Amino acid sequence: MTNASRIPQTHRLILVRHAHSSVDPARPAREWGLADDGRAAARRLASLAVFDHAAGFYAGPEPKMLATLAPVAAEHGQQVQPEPGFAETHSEGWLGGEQFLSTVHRFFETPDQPPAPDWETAAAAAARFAAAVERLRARHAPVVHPGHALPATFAIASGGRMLTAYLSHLLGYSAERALEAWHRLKMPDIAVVELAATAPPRVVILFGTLAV
Amino acid sequence: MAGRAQAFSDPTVIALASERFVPVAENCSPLQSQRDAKGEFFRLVAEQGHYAGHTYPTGTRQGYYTFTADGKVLAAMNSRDPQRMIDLMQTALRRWHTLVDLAVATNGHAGNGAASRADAVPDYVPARPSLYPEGGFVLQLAARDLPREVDTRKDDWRRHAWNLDYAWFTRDEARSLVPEILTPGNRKQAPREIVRRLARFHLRDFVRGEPSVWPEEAIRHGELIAEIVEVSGDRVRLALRGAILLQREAHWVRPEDGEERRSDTGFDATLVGAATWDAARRAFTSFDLLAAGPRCGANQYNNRSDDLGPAPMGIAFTLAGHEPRDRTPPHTIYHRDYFVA
Repeated sequence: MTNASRIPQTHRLILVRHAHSSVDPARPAREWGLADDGRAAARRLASLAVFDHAAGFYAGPEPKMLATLAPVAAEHGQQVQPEPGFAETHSEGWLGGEQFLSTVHRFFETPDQPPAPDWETAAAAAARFAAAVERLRARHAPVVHPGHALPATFAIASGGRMLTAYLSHLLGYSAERALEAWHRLKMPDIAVVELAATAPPRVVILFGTLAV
Repeated sequence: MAGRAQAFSDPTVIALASERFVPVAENCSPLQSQRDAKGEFFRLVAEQGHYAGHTYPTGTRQGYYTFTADGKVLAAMNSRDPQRMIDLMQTALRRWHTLVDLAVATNGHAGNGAASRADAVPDYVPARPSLYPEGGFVLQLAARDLPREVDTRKDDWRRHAWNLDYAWFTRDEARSLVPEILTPGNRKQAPREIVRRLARFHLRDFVRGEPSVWPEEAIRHGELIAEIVEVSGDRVRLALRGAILLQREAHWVRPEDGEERRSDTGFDATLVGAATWDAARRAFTSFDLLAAGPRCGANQYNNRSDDLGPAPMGIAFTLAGHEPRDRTPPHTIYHRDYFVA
């Protein structure tokens, strides 16, 4: 018999940056789906055993996020559950090229201020993402097997700015480090983060390591 | 050992593993914390597998992993069941084809994370120094249960279990086993250090698992005597005989529930064997020693809770070869008492 009081209350988040989206400047980015190569990459994600212990698959409500995780969830007999808290940071309007990059720089450099009119701040986005994570942590308990226990694990698909803002909030990234992390993200990309009751949060697998 | 006896003796497993995969065997214990590229790569693999994040009751990452050359795990588990092993490899192959076929179809490739990661980790530096006794005296061990008059063991892998290990002695220790004057009838008592190493580290009941070493106080009696039976030029033939009695009450705490367990354990081994000493080379050219007798009891990792005995066990020692595999360290080589000056 396993002594429940001895089981570490640990969670593992598999953070998934969405695959390559089908860009359409005429429509808001939040409505974009995946491009052909993005759909193929999403299917490749389903080959990775890192998802085998995920008890749930969650994504922001944007089609490109749901579609990125859908093949993975299907491989495990599940469906992706949309979660508004995991949406990409809110933005307005089409900003092309340099204007978009400079806005993203401001997003990380001044996390408490909107980088452009009607954009969500990095701090506010990280707070709503973290709140959604905490709701899921309450829902997912460590998995107890005869003789051993594993962390509760679930997968979350979101956008690049959102995931970087959350990691910056969680791990105390500087603005420079956050920007560098955002620039290095691939499409799709995966990181594994561990949240323990008795230890600081830590990145177990970095973004970029398991790119498909 | 049990993995070899079960999963890796299955013909389908052998065919899949040898024809569709590149098999690699590694000792996970040091790799779990080894601070070099090899350890880093192992941890990347392990943290995607069946024990990802496993800290309770231990942090072990032992098991079977199928993975790509750049470290993407395709399937993993810790089971010795042949059918589960076949399922694991077939899942891995299916996933591999998905990775590769879709990458080719989209003009990509199956792995693009390795190069940057390789740049980020230092070169391979063994985390622990090699203690291999160059020019010394290396024995290979095989342990198994011996036939019983009444056999109550389950009719499964436990009846056929066997295990291997190596024992390391220095060149000087080899010489210390041979009488000084090479005349038939001369005898030499093995030095205490050799008997102690044999007893504590190599007369463990490791037929089914990985028991810890015997403590010094478990040695109730120990002697090994070499007697010269024939001298022919530089060739000296020796008869080996002796006895080692080990007894202790094993106790351990089950990490699952904190419950303390105890068991009276022992091995009453009779030693018998033969060896050939080359006086010119100052080395053994053959060495065969059998330790056989009743063993009893269980301990934390020897998988004997259903077979407390007493029941006969044999451990055969023979001269190891010179293949790379023959440099495999003894299971307990890094115990602080293994080599004592």
